[in-house]
Amino acid sequence: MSTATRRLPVVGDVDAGRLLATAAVGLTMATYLSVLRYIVTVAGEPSQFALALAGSLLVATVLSRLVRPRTAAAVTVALLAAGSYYYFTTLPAAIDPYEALGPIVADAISMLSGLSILRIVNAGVWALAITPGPTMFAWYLALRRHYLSGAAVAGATLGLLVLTGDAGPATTLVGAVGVAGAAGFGDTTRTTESVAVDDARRDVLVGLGAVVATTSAVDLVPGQLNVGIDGFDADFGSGGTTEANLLGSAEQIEVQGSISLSPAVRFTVESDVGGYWRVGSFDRFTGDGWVRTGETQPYDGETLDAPPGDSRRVQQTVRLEGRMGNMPALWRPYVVEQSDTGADVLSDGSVSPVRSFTDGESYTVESRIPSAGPQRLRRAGTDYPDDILNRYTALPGNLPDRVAERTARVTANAENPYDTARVLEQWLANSYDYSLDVSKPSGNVADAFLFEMDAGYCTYFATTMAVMLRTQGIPARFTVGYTPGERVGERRWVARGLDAHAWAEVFFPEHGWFRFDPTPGGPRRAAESDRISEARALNESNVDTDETGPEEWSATPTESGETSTSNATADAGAIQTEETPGVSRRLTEAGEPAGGDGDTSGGIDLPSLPPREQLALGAVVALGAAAGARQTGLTDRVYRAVWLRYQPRSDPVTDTRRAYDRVEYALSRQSRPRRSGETVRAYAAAVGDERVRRVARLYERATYADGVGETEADEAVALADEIVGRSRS
Amino acid sequence: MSDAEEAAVEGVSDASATARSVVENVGEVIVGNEQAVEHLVIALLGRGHVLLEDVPGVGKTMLARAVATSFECAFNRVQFTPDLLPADITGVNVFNQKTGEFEFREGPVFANVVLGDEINRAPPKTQAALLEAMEEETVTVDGETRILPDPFFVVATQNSVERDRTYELPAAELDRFAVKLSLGYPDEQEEQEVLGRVVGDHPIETLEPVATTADLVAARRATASVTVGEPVQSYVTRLARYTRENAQLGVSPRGSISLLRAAQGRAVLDGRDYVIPDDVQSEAESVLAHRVRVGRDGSKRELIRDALTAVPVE
Repeated sequence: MSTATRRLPVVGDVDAGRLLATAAVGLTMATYLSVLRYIVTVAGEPSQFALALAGSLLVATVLSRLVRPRTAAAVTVALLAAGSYYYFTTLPAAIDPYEALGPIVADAISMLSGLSILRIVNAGVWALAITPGPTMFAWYLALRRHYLSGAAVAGATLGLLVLTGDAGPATTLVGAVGVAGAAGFGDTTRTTESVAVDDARRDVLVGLGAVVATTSAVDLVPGQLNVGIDGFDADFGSGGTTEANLLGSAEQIEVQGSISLSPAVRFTVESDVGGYWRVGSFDRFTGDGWVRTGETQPYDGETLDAPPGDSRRVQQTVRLEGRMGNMPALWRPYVVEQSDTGADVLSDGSVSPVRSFTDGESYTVESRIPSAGPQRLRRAGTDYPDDILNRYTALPGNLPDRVAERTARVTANAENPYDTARVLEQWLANSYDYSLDVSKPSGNVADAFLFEMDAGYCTYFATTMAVMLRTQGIPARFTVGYTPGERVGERRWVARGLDAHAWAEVFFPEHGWFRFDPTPGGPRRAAESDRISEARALNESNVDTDETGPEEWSATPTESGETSTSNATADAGAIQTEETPGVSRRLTEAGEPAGGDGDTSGGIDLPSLPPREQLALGAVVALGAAAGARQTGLTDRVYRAVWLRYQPRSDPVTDTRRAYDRVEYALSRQSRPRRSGETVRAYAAAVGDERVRRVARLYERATYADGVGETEADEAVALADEIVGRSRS
Repeated sequence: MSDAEEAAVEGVSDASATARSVVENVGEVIVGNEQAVEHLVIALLGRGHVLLEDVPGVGKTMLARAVATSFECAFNRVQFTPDLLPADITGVNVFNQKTGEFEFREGPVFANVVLGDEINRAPPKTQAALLEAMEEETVTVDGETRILPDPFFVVATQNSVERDRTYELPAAELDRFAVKLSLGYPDEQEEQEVLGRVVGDHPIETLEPVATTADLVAARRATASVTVGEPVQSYVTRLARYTRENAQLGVSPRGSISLLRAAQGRAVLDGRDYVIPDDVQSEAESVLAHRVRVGRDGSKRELIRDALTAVPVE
């Protein structure tokens, strides 16, 4: 009722508004700093980050007492320039700065359109280089009480990270809250900034907030969006299948919780040998997912790198059944002889279509399959090239030491990288159950799988194996693709969605990358064939081609199969292990339980909870909308609208007074607000009708006399409802 | 719906009826100026005294007489002159030769309604005699204190012309008047009506009482019982504080009390047994304006109006 302005309490001689505004700027800074810290941690240089951060804050504090904003801005520019220079010095020496300029600009553009910073090879250095400038300036401005400007600097930095897709929804939201807080609380502590300038800045901030919120909302979909646009059929877009998870996004993979298997046929391969149809690999482990760093190049029609050692030439022709944004091929693709879409080459040497394949399109790839056997791999040694070592043994700075300790213990008897890998492969397959029905752990996935979980699916096995190998200094990477699938003829294989798979690849000097698949094979195949049978029973579409069916291809297996005989696929690319499992067992720690009895149902009928992304997306959209609504005063209006129409009842006096408040609010919207010295009665007489005057009388009784009874309160509320309803209609 | 309906206490409705009939009755004599009449009756209900400041000949005396007549009260008029002595107001002890004792001969102050005409013509000592009576409702002569009749109501007048040879009332004494009013000249139509009425008998001669002294006493009691809620008290306080912050001399606590009493009186006149801010607002100017001192350029009434605009009402 009273129009007296409320002021924030004053704490000591420091205005609480200032404290809050400073805190809000700090909050915004914390958001982008947390993202940068995460990047630095993933790249493995956390201590330097703390140093850069502390230094920036210290400099800002000192400068805030000494220099004017203009000078501080110059210092910021200098810091950014120094950071850029530092970053360029760490780039491979071969890059001429002038030649690099084009790609750098191209990089900048692709980063702003969603290229994660983690995909930059020197992501850690990049993050370190960018940290001091904005941090120094934002904190300087906050200390100088230019809260809006400070929040704008921090918000812009966060905005950059949102555009690159590195700032998640929660971070973005917190940042938006910080910016809003600075805008709100900075208001009460307006110092030298004039009103007009303030308003202009607030507009900018609101705009920025909208951009940030929108981008983060769109950005959150990437895997799924990608799938919808150029990846897979709509039924893949559910985001819940192994395939969509592993192969939906070209550049990164986030480890998921429960997922299901899609039985639909994806492609048919005609090839001399079957094998793991490989799509691509990832080199940077983020703790909860994988990112592929480096550039994708257009395929120029020349031959690609062949594996360094001996290899076998295999030609595959793949015909797609439906849309697909990948180009599965045996490792290692050498020549793309024909492709209906053209081809790109990923940074790891995999091939990829320029656009998505559509139903019926095909491509032919000639691969060179490395053929080195165990003996030669054992002798391969550890003389890794530097770039391989840097790229494929990096681990997040926050990986607990116990992972390395456990790995060292498990592989204590292994004498060379090959044995280490083989032991880990067996140990993982034996120690953990196969299950599609797991909840995603928080924290580092490899650590959680090792120590907290007892079952998982391929992503968990492959991630953990690659990470464990890296702890031992052995270059390893996370690879995705399709298992051979169903063999339907001498030279024909049919791969379904549920054949999507992840495994590890290990590098051997002089020989290249070799596949290790730590996922228990039996249980996985059982889950998959169960799913196919079920799909057939339910008459799901696209489960079979003309060639496939319940009957297995019954040609005499040409090779002595390994463990599995149900799908007697010739498995090119697998290392021809001549040892019996006993050898491995000798190497494995005694007494480790052999897990995986193969009776898992595979969690086929999963509860249809919306996936985590969708929940997060919904949350951020809702919260973003809330933040925007707050900024535009919408929440206030909505609150008012509800408050106006719905009156909860309490005691008669309160009810009556509130009824009048509602009427007065409605009237103030309709004609004019009550003036400061104007009494209720005078106001009602001036702008209201008989009913308003009646409510005003009841209000007077409630306020100035001894109170009112239930009857009067009922009357007042009823009248208020009536008046409010009329005035709004 | 009328306000009378809202009156819950019987005393208040009776008092309201009494007050209204008096206002109406006085209106028979005083043409126009209904507001001044209301203010005066309200002051009467709130046990206050009234100072009328006006040019001569606009009906000040007539107003006081009409009020006295309406209540069937004893009415006395004292013309203040420079040679008036305090004893001329309060009365004196006179030696009675028959009984051989001193007898108190009551002065004109011993009446229910006393009109002190041109009070600023008498020296301060004489003014003080009347003012003491107003404040204490007693008179002390030769060490003996005598109680004045109840109700006791003073209407003092000041001439606003001929300011020379006058003794201006000091602020402290002005403060004792609950209300300061001025009647002002009637407009053309009203003046014509006045002339019409005085043809033949002057209406004051034929004015009939509409209430008794006992009614007035009861009405005053009822007025004092009118509810003043906390929001109204706070509003009055804030008004007073506003004047203190914005004038050379603001409203005293006595002024706040007078305003509250007057607001009660206004509530009774409207037939309400509780005070609303509107009551305070309608009385504020006449109750507060003469208590503040403003700078050379300011107007006292304007300051009060500013206060009413600026101070928010709950």
